[in-house]
Amino acid sequence: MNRDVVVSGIGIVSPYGVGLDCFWSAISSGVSAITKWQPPGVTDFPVSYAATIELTALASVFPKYFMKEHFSKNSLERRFIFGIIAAELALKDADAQPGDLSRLGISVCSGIPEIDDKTLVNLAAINSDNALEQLVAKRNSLVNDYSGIRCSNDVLATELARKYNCTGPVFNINGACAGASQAIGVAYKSIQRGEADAVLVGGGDSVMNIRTLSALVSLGAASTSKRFGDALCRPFDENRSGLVPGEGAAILLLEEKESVARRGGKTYCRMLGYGSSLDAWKVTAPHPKGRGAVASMSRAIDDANISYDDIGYINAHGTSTQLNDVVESEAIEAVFKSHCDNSLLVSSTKSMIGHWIASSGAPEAVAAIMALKHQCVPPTINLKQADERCRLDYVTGKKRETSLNYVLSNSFGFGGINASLIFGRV
Amino acid sequence: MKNRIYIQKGRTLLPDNIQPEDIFLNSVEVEKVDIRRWDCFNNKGDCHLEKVYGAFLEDISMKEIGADRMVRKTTECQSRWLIAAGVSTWNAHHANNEINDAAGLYLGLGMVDCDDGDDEHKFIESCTAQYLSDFKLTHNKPLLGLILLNSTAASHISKMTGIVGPNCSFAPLTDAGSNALIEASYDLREGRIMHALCGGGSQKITPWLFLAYEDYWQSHDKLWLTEAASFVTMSAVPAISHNSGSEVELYRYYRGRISGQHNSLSAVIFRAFNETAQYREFALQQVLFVGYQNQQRRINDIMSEIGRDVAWCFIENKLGYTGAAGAALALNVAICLLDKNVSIYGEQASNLVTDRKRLVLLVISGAEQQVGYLLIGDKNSNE
Repeated sequence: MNRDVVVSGIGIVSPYGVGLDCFWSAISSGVSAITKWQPPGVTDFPVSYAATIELTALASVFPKYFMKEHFSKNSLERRFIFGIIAAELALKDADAQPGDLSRLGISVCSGIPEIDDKTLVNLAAINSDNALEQLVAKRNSLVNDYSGIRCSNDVLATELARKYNCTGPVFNINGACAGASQAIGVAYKSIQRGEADAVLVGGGDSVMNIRTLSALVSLGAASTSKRFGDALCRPFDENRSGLVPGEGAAILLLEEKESVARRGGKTYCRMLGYGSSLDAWKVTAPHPKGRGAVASMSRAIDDANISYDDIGYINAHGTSTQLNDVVESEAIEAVFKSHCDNSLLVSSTKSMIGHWIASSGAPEAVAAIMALKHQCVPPTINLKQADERCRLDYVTGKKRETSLNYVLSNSFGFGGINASLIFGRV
Repeated sequence: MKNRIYIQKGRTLLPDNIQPEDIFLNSVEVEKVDIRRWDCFNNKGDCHLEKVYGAFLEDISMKEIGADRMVRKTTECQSRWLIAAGVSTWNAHHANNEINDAAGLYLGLGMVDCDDGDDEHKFIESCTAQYLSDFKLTHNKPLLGLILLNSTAASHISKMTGIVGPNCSFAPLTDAGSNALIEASYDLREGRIMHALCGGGSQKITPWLFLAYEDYWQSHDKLWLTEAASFVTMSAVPAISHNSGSEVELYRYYRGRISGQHNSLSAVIFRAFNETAQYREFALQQVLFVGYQNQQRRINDIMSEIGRDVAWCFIENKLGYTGAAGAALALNVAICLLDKNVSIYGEQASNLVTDRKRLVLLVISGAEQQVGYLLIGDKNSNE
């Protein structure tokens, strides 16, 4: 059984605001969401630019999602709130009631639990040898409602499953920065093979806390440069200096084609291919020849049963890190060969929205789908002088209108976990 | 034509080096301790659970699997259990570790690896975000980010086994382990891969684990947690000669979420039993329930309703709750029962007398009403 799978709804909570329109309008116009940022109460944190969401603004639009009693959990991290709102928006966009969707499943990635700064600071009150034990005993007074300390990492999946009364499979996937793309890919296969008829897919993540960002700084992954101001995120540029964090959630409704037709829903595009791979290399760096990246893209193209020169646009992982951007560019050249010199367009929307870490594949899949829908590729901004090893057409500076039949979205995670997705016109 | 799927027994890590067969066939008991001795549980008002037991795994040497220093530097023991069990399972069935793009890796992971260090908190002397920031930036382990990332274990296993094919890591509870097994099964059946390494590891037992799952365990009156890791290999071709043991065939599998009358727990279990009935030349030797420590009365009722004279038991009654390790662990138990021709009735093992081929049904329960099953049995040369 190989059933046709389509994207029938999209919901997104991004630093631009709530919804798809403002997201697409901004990224297709090359508007950056990255601004100066510091953790509250800190003046000299080395990560000084980020694309963040103002929680109080979100709470004024969706007050119910900020009430404890709305959830089964005592505590809900912001990344889960973003995800739950995005899922509601996706269903609304699809004009679908959960009851309309038979065997609805969930397949999401929302990273690993974070400890918010407020909770960590509160822990100062338990400075002793049995700090953790005391933490448990005093949890209600010490732990912020938005802390990951009191959340399992599958809360987004399980809350959505409960809320929408799902009867299909429920997946919470952890695949580093490729996690959301893997979640989309696994769900696509699940519908294709008849295990589910519709699946809410994607992810939500936020790493806007001292604990995680300081770990990213220690790894040398996050940019600490102040040289370019809010033009800091410069994928493929010779002066790129590391990832710039972002946050948000994007949830898509993947649906079996006949299911959409039965309920008279709309279709953004077909989902046609998924590839995943492992580098079997160092945990600190991608394989220098892009072994995993090549395999991931090649498998997706094989899965879609199309030719590599059918792909018109690649939404690159494009992190603005020294290693990724070169390896990814060279891997694209290895897979697409002469097609790179013809009409293949590549861009990194991270240049505008930052790196949403575990969920990054979801907004980037949305960007690729919207490019297909509007026949218009969003740009890579801040790219002034490409690294000499980055030799592709990166759609520099402003959007480009073009004719697209198939698009591909890459996600290449820490430790060499890779995923590629292919979408095609209806 | 869809591929057939063969499963080979793999390595299981349990406390005190106990093996599943010791527990299920030789009545060896896992040593568990009362973890209410933790200060946090001293005040009974803080913990609704009457009894909380834990069975703890020792940290593991990485030497036997030839791990380099980077593995130790970028993992805590939770990942090391997973890596050791996974790599040694693969090595037992695949002689070399050359790059293999026809092999896939499917894992059930715990919630997070680095989660129990007092060091992370007791340093804080001044209650400000600025102090926290300064301290973190100067005291972080350089590779802390990779330790925090639970999928780092997948990266290490990939490097040490040469597995570079399709992959997926699910987290964090029992369903994560069964989703890993079932995802691998689909990829094998559909020809995406020829071989798979599948398994999972439990979340390390710490107060953090209690905090994260406090709501989840609200309906329990007691809890027995066991740290474990367990793996199997799966293959589209039989790896072991037909007459030897320790290799079984996977016949059916299912996963979904129970909700409403038509997809109730009893409907799913009835459906699983109906599937076994399609294999007329087979006898159903055993049913193993995994992850049902809080629903045993309900299962008792369903089994009475089904009324089949079949041996069945709850895995957790013998070895505690092992989270994402549970499904692969149960699969290893099932292979062991088929190997030894033994059935378990409740707590009691007894030899089986049959000249028919045999089946074992695993029924797995996960978080938030997720349910799945796998039907395995002797290899069927006639099919």
